[in-house]
Amino acid sequence: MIHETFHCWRPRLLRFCEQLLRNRHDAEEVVQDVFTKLVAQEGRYDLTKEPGVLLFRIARNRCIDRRRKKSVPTVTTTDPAAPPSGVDQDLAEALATLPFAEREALLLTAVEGLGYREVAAILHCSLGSVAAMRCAAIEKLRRRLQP
Amino acid sequence: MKKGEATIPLHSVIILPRWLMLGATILSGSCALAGAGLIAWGLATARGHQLGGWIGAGLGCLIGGAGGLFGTLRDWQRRLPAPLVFAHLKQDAPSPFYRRVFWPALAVTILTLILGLIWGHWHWWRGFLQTGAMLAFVSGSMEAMRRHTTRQARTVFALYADGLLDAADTAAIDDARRKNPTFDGEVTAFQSIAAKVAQMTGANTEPPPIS
Repeated sequence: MIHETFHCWRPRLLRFCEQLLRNRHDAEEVVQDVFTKLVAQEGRYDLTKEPGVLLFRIARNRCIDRRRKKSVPTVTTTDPAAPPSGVDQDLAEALATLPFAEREALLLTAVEGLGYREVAAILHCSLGSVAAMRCAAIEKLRRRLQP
Repeated sequence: MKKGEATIPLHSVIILPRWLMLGATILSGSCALAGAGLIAWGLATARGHQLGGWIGAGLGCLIGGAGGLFGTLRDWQRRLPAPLVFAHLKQDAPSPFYRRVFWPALAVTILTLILGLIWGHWHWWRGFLQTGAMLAFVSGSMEAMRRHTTRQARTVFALYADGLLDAADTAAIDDARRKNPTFDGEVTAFQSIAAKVAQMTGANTEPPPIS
């Protein structure tokens, strides 16, 4: 079960953590930690019901821990987690300047395509907070991207 | 956004913060009760001119408290009218009144409180203390309400732009959107940036089912 979960969810978790931490190496370590935890505590988590919520919640908490330890800078220019070619570079840079909470709400809703209820469960907040953070994030992106 | 997500009723997100609701209810209710108490006390003990004073003070407290209580309880179910959504979205900076008044007023309040506690002579400090506390309270409350309203507006706007509001709520905002081209532009810009972010990493794909 964990093996299948790993193959299904690893790319999405990696993408989320990479965008959140803006560091490919750290993101890979976090995702590794997530699955190590699942293996070590097998039986504690039910992966048949909403595995995405569970995995993203663990990954998000690990990202916060790592961010506290390393104090990730707000803007990086020589970022190993740069977006793939063809991607709007300005948008990626603007996204990197968003506050952590707003960035994670936007990434989970817009990039990962999760619903408000799922994101609220992952972030331990209300639906209203998710919507407000998403709106604030998009408004900031818009201002930043305005010519 | 997740495809086919169920709509979210507006009343589940648009309510006053619980702490503000409880605080205002307790304060207004206490004021009204105190007014009733003053009237009763005056009727039982005072005579002549004094009776008029007790009843006047009591009526002031009773009417003010009851009005506050009525307004607070009515606000429990109040929804943000659609046209106001757009207006509040732009109020994301602290008000000039708060910026200029709150911290100086709070500093005066604390300073006079400390001076009064150390040296006594409350009649020296009372005027500064009362004025400072009043201004700090008024400016702080106004700023708290502004932040809360802006947050509510953002919530409604995001839910609307993502198509997650109930039909009745959506119709009300659609109407405001038709009448206001700027608001319409805001909604379109929001949707456009949300789509760009979603495409940024080729995302928004459902994971393969776990067998």
